Amino acid sequence: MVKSRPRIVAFLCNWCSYAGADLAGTTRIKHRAEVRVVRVPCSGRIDPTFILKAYERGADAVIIGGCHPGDCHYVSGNLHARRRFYVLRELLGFLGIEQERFQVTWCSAAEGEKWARTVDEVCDTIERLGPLESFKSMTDYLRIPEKEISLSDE
Amino acid sequence: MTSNLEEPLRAKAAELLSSGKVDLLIGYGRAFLGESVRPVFLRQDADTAKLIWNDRCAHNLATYLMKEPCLGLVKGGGRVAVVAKGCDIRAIATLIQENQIERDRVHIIGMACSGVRYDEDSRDMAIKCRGCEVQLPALYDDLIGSEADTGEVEGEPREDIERILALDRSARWEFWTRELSRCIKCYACRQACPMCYCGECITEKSRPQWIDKAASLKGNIAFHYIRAMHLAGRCVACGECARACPMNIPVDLLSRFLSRRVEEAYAYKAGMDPEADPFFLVNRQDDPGEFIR
Repeated sequence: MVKSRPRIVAFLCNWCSYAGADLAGTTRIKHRAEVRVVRVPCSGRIDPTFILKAYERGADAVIIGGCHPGDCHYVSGNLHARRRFYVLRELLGFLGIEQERFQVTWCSAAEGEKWARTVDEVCDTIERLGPLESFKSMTDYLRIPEKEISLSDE
Repeated sequence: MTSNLEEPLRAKAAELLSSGKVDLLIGYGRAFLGESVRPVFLRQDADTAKLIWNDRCAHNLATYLMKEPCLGLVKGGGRVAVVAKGCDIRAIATLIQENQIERDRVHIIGMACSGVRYDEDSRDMAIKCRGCEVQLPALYDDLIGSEADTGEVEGEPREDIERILALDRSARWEFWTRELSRCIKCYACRQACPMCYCGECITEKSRPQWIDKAASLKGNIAFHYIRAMHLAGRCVACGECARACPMNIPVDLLSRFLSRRVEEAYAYKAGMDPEADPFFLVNRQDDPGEFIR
């Protein structure tokens, strides 16, 4: 059986972690390629529905990247985000989703190396935990059995 | 069971309505069947005979402040009086905190409460009343009753949150999928909630559609997930959502758990101080951040 690769969605702040991830690329730091990046204007922009949607659509983990406290381009967006994500993380744990599947990192534009390390660590964690089955099983009914969608003549 | 607070309540209501201090009074009245209680909306002092007060007055009448006709009245400069228990007053305080209603637009008739019952046949107090801290309200314009009228609420304190926390991860998920798969998306929990006052709820938005509208497990989990997040640090644990639920889902469990976590980590309890800033509106440099790598 082929081992499935983790699928990770990252929401990165335009002013810090997104540039940090970019720096990791321009300085040719190798890191795992299983991460899909979504650029957002601020970590305070990230609504809990974004994270829910990522899980529903098959993400095994979500990484949030924001500015270090005090560095927010909008003064306090990351501090608002910190409260929100504390609560969200508690909710996920209470619902029965591993809290490791929700990672928050403060990563500045100069910390390409930290970003690469974070991605590698999260990938390793998700490989250990396996895919997030909780949400996948709920959408199974949407999947039409292969037999029925076959358009060939036989 | 009639309470001896009924007559003082009626007298106070008549005084408020006849003097023109308030335009509308929301209270409890007798419903059609048995001992059932329903909300009544009074405009004339002659109607105050309809008011009742007993241990079946479970409704949180603060919900109606954010609905018509009260909403139009309080926004248009009128005044509304509400008969409210300590738990309901926490909801009113939260509405004041969130600038939904001005303090002087609402006249709070605080009731000394000795617990309410949900079930007609049951002699047991509602489980939410066990361990109540606000039997004697802290915020009111008029207080009906005194310390002497707050009987002790009997029964074991509820430990449903502890029971979930004692489960391992997969058992928790199993519990929630079992409970939430029953949800029929009637939105009774949202309608009964004093904190769910958005004119347009995110569950009704379809461009883009964030919350799956189907009453399938996926849509149900999405709905209760976002409801819990929107009530975190705001839920006053009045339990009206669970009481309204026709499928007997413990819908208040998620928001109650989050409010408890907020209280533990941030020392913030919703609705205790109408002057305080709402939880998600402010932040501190030293907020917990150990979970951030």
